[in-house]
Order: sequence, then structure tokens, then C-alpha cells
Amino acid sequence: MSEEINSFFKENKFLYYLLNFILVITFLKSFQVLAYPEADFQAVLTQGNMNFILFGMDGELGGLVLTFILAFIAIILSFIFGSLLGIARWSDIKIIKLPATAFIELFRSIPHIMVIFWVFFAMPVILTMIFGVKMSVSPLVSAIIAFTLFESAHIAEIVRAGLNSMPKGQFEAAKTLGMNSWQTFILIILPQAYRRMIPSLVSQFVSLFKDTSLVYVIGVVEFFRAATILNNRIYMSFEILSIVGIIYFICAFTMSQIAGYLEKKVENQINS
Amino acid sequence: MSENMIEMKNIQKHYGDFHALKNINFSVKKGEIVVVCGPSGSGKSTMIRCINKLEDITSGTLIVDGFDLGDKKTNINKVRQKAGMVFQHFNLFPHKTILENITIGPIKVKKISKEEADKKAMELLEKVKIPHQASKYPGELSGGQQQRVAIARTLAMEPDIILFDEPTSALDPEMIGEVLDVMKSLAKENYTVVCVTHEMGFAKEVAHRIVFMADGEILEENSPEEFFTNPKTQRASLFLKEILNH
Repeated sequence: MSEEINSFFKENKFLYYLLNFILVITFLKSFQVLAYPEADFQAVLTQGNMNFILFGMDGELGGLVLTFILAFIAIILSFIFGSLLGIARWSDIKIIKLPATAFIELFRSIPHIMVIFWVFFAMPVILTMIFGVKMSVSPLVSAIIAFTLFESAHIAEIVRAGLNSMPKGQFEAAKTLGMNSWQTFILIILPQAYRRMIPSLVSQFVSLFKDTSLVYVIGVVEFFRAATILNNRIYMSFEILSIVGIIYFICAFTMSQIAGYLEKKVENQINS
Repeated sequence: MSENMIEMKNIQKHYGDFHALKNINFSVKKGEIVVVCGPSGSGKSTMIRCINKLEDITSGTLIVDGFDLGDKKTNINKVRQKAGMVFQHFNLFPHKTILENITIGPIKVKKISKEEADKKAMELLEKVKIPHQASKYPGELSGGQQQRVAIARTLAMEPDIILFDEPTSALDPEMIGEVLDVMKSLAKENYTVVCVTHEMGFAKEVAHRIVFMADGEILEENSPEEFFTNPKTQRASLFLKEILNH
């Protein structure tokens, strides 16, 4: 009986997703009815409110759009910096391996929220010391710097693991053709290694996306902070946080699905 | 002697405490075909991997085509272009097509134009009898085909020396023949070949000299006829008995 159900759903994937969707909605709705029957989503879901939490205040960048921009910039910067760190730690050249290791271990051990605070308060002090003039750093820039610092550490470990998983034979074959280290890396090793890292990298980026909510503490008006500002205005926490949760879920889930699609595409290429 | 392509004098190699190569004295003349055989763990792969510096020696003199590998000024990449290697597990680049596998060395290292490299690669694929596989990926080929591509890839760099490290040991029995055929055809051209293998039939047919190793030492060196009919050491006799019985 269960086998028949299984094979039915394997063939009708759409029905499978639809059924799951209905079940999840029903579950959430019943939770809401039991926990908070007076929930009034209509009052929250107005044009003005949604505009605010998705796009921020008029004339300024904020809301979900700012979350995406922050995540996007942080992903690019931490990917570049993290790759360099990861290769440095993986290598045997002590002069780059030791500093890279120190950096990675430091930023993997400190809570992200602490790094955000620290950059926000320490940056102006450091810059003032360097330039002599009183400098200040906007919360958004502090956030980008902080994210780059700790995300690079995580990316570096993923890169290092990816390089360790490369078969020695690939290095040897490249060497026997007379390639130098640089050519071996760029032409042979990195293209293969990065394909292997895709699942871990995407997972890390989804994590980064969720972590953007932390910049709430230094006043960046991204999605989560915008939602709490709205809450302070109209005091409807249950409705607002439910909506926030659902939107975060949709974004993160979509990203994971895209990742799965990329993974499948890549698997067709490296099938040896 | 300057006509020696490869010269190993008093080579010692240690892996930590383990003495992997003991006092190896071994030389190969230009155009010679040498088969190195022996039981597992005898150091044959280690010795051949020292020739293109995939392994480092602890002490001794190693000269390949006039280049002293112990000299820090020697450009090892130049030496490696002269001594190609075919591996037991092929080591093709899975993210490149067959044609790209063969042309990437000539294009990136020897700086040959793409058109010329492609042309030469197709000729080599004809030579190893799989020209129709040019645009496939290594994962789509059988083991025997992959190894033949690996040989073509090595030949594309126009080496003077070809090192084979147990080229047929990872192949299904039906595919061993097609690879050995390619190797035999190479024997007729003027390459210097050092081949670590268990394929005694191949050795009998094309080798000029057989080197028998055990426990990190060279125990015997002889022509194939002499080695197979009249092994001088007991260890060699034992080895031959085992290997020729199967």
C-alpha cells in the first residue's frame, strides 16, 4: 500500500508539492488559531507597511532590498577573500599559512554579533588613529566589513576542505606535463575543486543571508529591523513576525533549490 | 656518460624511518626500453617517480637528460616536459574533453597555437585508435580508452623519455591488450622507456633489459631471455614462478 502511494507521488511531482504545501499551511494556520486566535493579518498587510519592510523608507534604501544588497556584496567580498585565505592555509608556505590560520581561527571562534558590534565601535577609532582626522563609519559599511571578516573565515575552511578532497593524481598529472604551480591551480585544480564545493558554499551563503538580521543591533534598517520598527508602531508582533518568517523562508528555500539545480548540472559534467 | 638519458648513482630514499630505496645504481641509454619488475613494495614505483621528481631522494646523484635534479637551479618543469609519465590510474582531467586533455599541455606549457595543437592531438588520437572520442569527457570512456588517451596526452608534449607506472594494473583483462599494443608500437619509435609492469609477455617482446627489484634494492639486471630462463637470484626465481603460473 505504501509502495503504491510512493510511486504515485514520484510520478506526480506537482501533486506531491501541492499536498505538502497544503499540509504546511494547514499546520501553521491551526497553530495560529490555537495560539493567537485574534490574529489580524489584514491590518498588517497594507500597502504602506509592506512597502516599508520590503523597500525601506521613501528616499532611502532599506527593508528586504537592503538585506539582499548587503548579502550580495558580503558574498562577493567574502568569496574572494575567503578563497585566498583558504588557499593560503592549505598551502605549505609558512609565511602565508600561519597568518591565514590565525585569522580563520579567530573569526570562527567569535560570535558574529560580537564582530558586528566590534567593527562598528572600533572602526572609527582605528581610522581616526590612522588618518588623524575624526572619521566615522556608517552602519551599513561597518556591517559589510564585519560580514566580510567572519564569512571569509567560513569560506576559507570550505575552500581548504575542497582542496584537500582533490585526488593527488590530478596534481601529479599536471606537474608531469610541465605545468608550474600557478597553471596547475588555475587550469586543473580550482575548476574541479570549486565544483565540489558548491553545496557547502551555497549553504554558507544561505546562512549569511539569514545572519543579515543581526545588523539590527547597529541600526541598519534592513528587513528584520524594519519589521521591528513597524512593530513598535502598531504593536502586532505575532502577525508581523509570522510574515517575516514566511518571507525569510521563501527566500532561503528558493536559494537552496537553485543550489540543488546547480549541483545537478555540475554532476553531469564531472562523472568520473 | 653523456649518452645516458637517465643516470641514478647511489640513490637513497627514506620515508621517515623507512628505507624505501637502498643504494640504487641504475642508468638508461637513449632509445633503450627497460622494464622494472618485482614484488609489491619493492620500491619500483618510488624509483620511477624519483626520475621526474614526483618523489625526492634523500641522497645520491640523479641526472635526467643532462639535468642534475639535485641542483636547485634546475628548472624541474623543463625536465618534466622531457620525461612524460603514464599513471596506473590514468589521471585524466575530468572537467576537460579528450581533445582538451591532450592539447592543454602543448598550448599552455609549450605555447603552441591552438590550431596546431588540435591538429597534432587528432593525429595522436588516430595513432591510439580512438579519434571519434575527441569531444567526449573522460568519464564517458572505458578504462582502456582512458589509458590510451593518457598515453596520447604524454606523447603530445614530445618527450624524449616515457615513464610508465604500472599502466595496465588498473584495467580489466580485456582492455590490457589494447593498451599494450599502443605501448608496443611506441617501442619501435626512438623513445627512451622505463616501464614498471607485471606484464611479462610485454617485457619479453619489447624490452631491451629487465631490472628486478625487491625490498628497495635492484637485485638483478639482465636481458629478457636471460632473466626469464636463467634468473640469477633465488628471489627472482621465486617471483617468476609466482607470476608465470597465473
